[in-house]
Amino acid sequence: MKGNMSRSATLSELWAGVLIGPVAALTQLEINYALVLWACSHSRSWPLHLVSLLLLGFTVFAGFLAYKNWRRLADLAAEDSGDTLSRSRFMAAVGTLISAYMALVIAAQWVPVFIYGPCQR
Amino acid sequence: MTPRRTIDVSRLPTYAFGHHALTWWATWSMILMEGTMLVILLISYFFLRTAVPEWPPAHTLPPNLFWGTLNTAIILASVFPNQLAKKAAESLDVKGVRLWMIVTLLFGVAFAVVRIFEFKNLNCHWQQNAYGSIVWFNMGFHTAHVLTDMVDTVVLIVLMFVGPIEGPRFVDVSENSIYWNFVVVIWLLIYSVIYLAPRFL
Amino acid sequence: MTPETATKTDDALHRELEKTWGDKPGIWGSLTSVNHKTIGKRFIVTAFCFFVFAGILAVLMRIQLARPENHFIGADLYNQIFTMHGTTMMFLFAVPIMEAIAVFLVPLIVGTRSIAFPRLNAFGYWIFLFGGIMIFVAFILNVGPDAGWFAYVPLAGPQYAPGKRVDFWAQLITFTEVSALVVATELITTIFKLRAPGMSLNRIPVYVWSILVMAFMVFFAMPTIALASTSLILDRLVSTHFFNPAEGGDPILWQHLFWFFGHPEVYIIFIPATGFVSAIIPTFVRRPIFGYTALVLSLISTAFIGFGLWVHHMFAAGLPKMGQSFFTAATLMIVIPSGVQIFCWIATIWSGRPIFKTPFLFSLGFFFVFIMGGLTGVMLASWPLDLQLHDTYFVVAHFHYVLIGGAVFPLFGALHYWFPKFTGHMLSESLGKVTFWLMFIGFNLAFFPMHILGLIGMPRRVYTFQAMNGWAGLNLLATIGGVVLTLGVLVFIINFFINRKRGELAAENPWGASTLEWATSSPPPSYNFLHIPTVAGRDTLWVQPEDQPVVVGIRSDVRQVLITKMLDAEPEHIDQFPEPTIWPLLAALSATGLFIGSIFNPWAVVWGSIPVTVSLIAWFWPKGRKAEERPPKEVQQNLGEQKLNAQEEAA
Repeated sequence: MKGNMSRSATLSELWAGVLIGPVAALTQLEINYALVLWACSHSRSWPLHLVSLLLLGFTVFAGFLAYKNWRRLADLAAEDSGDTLSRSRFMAAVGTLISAYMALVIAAQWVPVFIYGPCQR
Repeated sequence: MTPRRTIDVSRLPTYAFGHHALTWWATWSMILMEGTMLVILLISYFFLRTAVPEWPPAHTLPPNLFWGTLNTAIILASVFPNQLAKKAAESLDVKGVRLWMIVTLLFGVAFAVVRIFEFKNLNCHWQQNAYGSIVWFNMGFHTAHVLTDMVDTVVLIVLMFVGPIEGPRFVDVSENSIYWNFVVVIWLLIYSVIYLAPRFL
Repeated sequence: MTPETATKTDDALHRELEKTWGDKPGIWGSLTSVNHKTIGKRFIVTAFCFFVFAGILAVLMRIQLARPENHFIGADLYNQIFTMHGTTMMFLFAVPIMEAIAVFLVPLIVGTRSIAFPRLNAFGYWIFLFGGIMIFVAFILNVGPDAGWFAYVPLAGPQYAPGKRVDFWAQLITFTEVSALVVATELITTIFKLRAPGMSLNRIPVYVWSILVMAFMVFFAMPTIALASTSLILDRLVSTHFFNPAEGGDPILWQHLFWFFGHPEVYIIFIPATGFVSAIIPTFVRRPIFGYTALVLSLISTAFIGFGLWVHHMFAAGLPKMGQSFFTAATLMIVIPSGVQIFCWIATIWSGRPIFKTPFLFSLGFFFVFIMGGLTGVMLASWPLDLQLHDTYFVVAHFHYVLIGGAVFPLFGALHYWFPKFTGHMLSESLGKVTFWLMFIGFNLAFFPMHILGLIGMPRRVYTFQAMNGWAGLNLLATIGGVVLTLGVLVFIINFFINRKRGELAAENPWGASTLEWATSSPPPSYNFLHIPTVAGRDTLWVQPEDQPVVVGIRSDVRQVLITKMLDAEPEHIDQFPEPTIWPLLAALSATGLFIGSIFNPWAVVWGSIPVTVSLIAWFWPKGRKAEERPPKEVQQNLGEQKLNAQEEAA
């Protein structure tokens, strides 16, 4: 390895970029869906807002880290070579884009909390 | 004919441990599938719980804490010989594998015996109500996993005495240990949900 | 890498590899085969037969509905027929055929000799077959399931569905989900660990990505339905109360469990179909696929979000509106990755030079039909609108558009495309075009009117209707369309039978495609490739140099395969795969005995587990390897150190 500039991103960073967003979107959905019952019996929706905000934050952060790796690796590696740098660039690209999309999904899934009361059937 | 360029792999190992081994992938596939089934089962437990005002239902005690906790202690203890068996396997130590797998199996037998007492002291029956049904389902699910892994362990022990003893068999022992750890982990989850949650949550 | 001429001649190598990897002859050979191509082909044919049976059931339904108050089929039989149609299509055709084609193709496309866990593969086929036989025998004996393919309780529970009908249905689930799960295990392991050197993660063909994603979805979806169907059998057989509200159970739990599986199920079917399209389009427009990263991204996104949609099947169940709206949001959002895929395919076609042969036509047909289905899906995603359309023919129209458009059309494209690889012969191109047009026209004629029927109020699953409803004309049109669609399938079947042995002989790569399955003969030899190939790019056959390296050093007198690293496919170690064996079949038979027995008596689980255990032990019991053992380096080192230590102590 020549030095920090040409290091590949660590595997944990690459996998985190790809997986955090989707897992966060599903987690927000499941937790908030379950919390609707609680919110109705306690007449407050703030936990649902909190869950959405936190998970959105994680996702954006993961996407940002993936983006930094992508930019750096794009200068170092081709897109479709068979070497580690190229493969890492691919994973970083996927991580960035999937985090962006999942952030959108989380936001979309957050909207109903602003519109409905938890006890409405 | 143009000479082809070649990659010569003839000196590569013929078996490997950990995530290099195909058996590892099979084991983790099982873990993922069975784990998913368990998670859904536990979520169903809580789903049913929220549907009724009292849980356990009126006049029903939660499962007897002594037997469940005893078994939890036994299965946790079994992790030690289990890990020793794994390490022995990864060093190709036949004698170590034989010894520690037998010890682990004995813990498993003890666990199975105490499991009988657990079943007798669940304080509910699956035909009574949904609570009884899901408690028994959880216990049955786990027991099935314990029994099948014990059979697997017995087969490997016999193999380690009778042979043919080869590198990949040590990989099998190592993977079986991972699966046993999984059986322990799912027990901790089920124990918390069946024994502790109705008392403390 | 040193230049090296083959030490054996190619002929001698071929003979030795054929001897090592070939199936045994005769019926015994068929029963003991662990070859992924042998098993894949029979798997495909069996699943297609189930498609034809289920299609015939649909034709019967359409005949009954051709006019008001028809007496062709009575109410009870009609219930069984629509249940069997849906159950067969979803559990015995759609998922199995996707997996079956993958079983044949994936090892070839990734450049290896075999699928991972070959014996498990054999078992997966047998258990699928036996389950299918069971349910059809039950149907013929008038004990077929009749509570719909999703068997809602309490209708499917012990009180309202006495007898064994629903028990057969629930146990069919067990057969098919075990089959799907084991095949998924093999596919994931094959894709991650058996790829040819050079096929790093970012060079895996999009079709293979789609299979990888599908297999992971199977891992998370199938266990849920296993849990659900087991709970249902327990409620019916031994009086548990999971779904009985009188004793604390909840029928809504069934719906949640079923649909948590049921929604991903449709993506499990759809995602491999998009993989077909991603393989076919580049070949027929003669340029690499546009937007590789975006396509992979879309597959992964769709798979994950697909697990977050299930409540949209329950919008009429009285759940809290806020909760339902989360699922409306997610359902709308999943359109985005599908849209991205469609954009990439269209961009590929736009910048390529299309050849309008049958596989490509089916891809174009797919666009049209699937997009329409997607649009009605967006409509149904909105829960207020869904409340009006739930359980009407609008829903029937929607899901047939997405399933036939989204899966069956690509499937027929795939069957025409890979037929030369499966059989060594070409299908007739003119008959192929006739198939396409009959299916396209017939399908739209059959199912478009159902949108309107749903909007004007015709409910699902009614065995007849009255003249005064005003539904007669559209129903008749739908029936005519159904007949045309059936004719299309019939033409395909004729095409198949004429050409499978006597059609024009196929070369290695008749379409000029770019992936590795086309780098060997049609059909491939039992050992797939004379030498394990290496890969030069995503579209490797289009970019590789004349002297692209091959792998040497794997023995050809035993079943050795090369295991490579998960991310970058560098050679890692060598494994030995099993010889043909009868034990997977025997294990499947014992499991069948256990499963069917437990429909009638819970003790079957206990007694039935004995033959299962015996056959599994016999299956696993090793026979000893011929090849030299070389332990992994770390073990060698450890052993070396131990010996050194021992020597020091002795000294």
